[in-house]
Amino acid sequence: MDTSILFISSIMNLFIAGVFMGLAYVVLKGAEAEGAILWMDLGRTLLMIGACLVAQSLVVASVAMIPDKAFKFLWFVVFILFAVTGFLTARYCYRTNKLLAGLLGGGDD
Amino acid sequence: MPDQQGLDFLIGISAFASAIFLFAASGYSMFIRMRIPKGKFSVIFPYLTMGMFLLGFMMISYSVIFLSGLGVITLLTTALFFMGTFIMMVGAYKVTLEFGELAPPPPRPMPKTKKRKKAPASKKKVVSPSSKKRVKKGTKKGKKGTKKAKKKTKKVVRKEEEE
Repeated sequence: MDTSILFISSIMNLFIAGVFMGLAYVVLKGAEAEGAILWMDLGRTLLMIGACLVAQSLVVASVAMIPDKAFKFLWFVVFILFAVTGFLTARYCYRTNKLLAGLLGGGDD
Repeated sequence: MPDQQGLDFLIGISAFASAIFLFAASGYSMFIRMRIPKGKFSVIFPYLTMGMFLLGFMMISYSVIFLSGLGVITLLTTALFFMGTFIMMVGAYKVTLEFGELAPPPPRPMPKTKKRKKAPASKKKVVSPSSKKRVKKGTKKGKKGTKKAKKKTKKVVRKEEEE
């Protein structure tokens, strides 16, 4: 594989992930100011998703720097992080559903 | 090298597992989007659904790459990563736009008191048909009827006198 392409793409990934993390931070702070529980939860979730994305881009960026075996292990870590991202999103959905069902009255979890 | 192949297999399987997690999250967020009423809190869900779906697709492509031993194809995975992240970023931005609407509007300063102009009274009174029916005997309508009767009797008396 061409390491220079990987490096450039990972730098772009890092930039996008950084912007995403910044937005997530704004959401978290705004939700704290407003006192909206649901959006505070969303802010935390987005922040963690952003952390996963940053980790992935860092791993891709470090292709040329580290040996192949360690690099593949890092891929494993990144994929676990993405699984955690999916889990966090599902958890956020579950919590939203539960809270709104309580607020609106009726409905099961 | 069997060790390398084993590692590739492990990575491919973990990528596939994370893809399943991401697809599950995407489906769940879509389900929630359909379940809860449209409002401020449901803004993020369509974006979250799409973003998670694209990231799941990226993971599938990674698992195919590692399991088949093709080597990392950056173009497809990077494009999917960009799209997924960008869509979720748009969702987060939309949430930040909704914050102003959550807070109650600031109280307006009380305006100086001015004398209100009276509204011009309408010349004709609008009488509803139901109220017409409720008119009792002895009201103006009834009186009008008696005046006519009196005029008739006066005319009759005059004619008799002339004769």
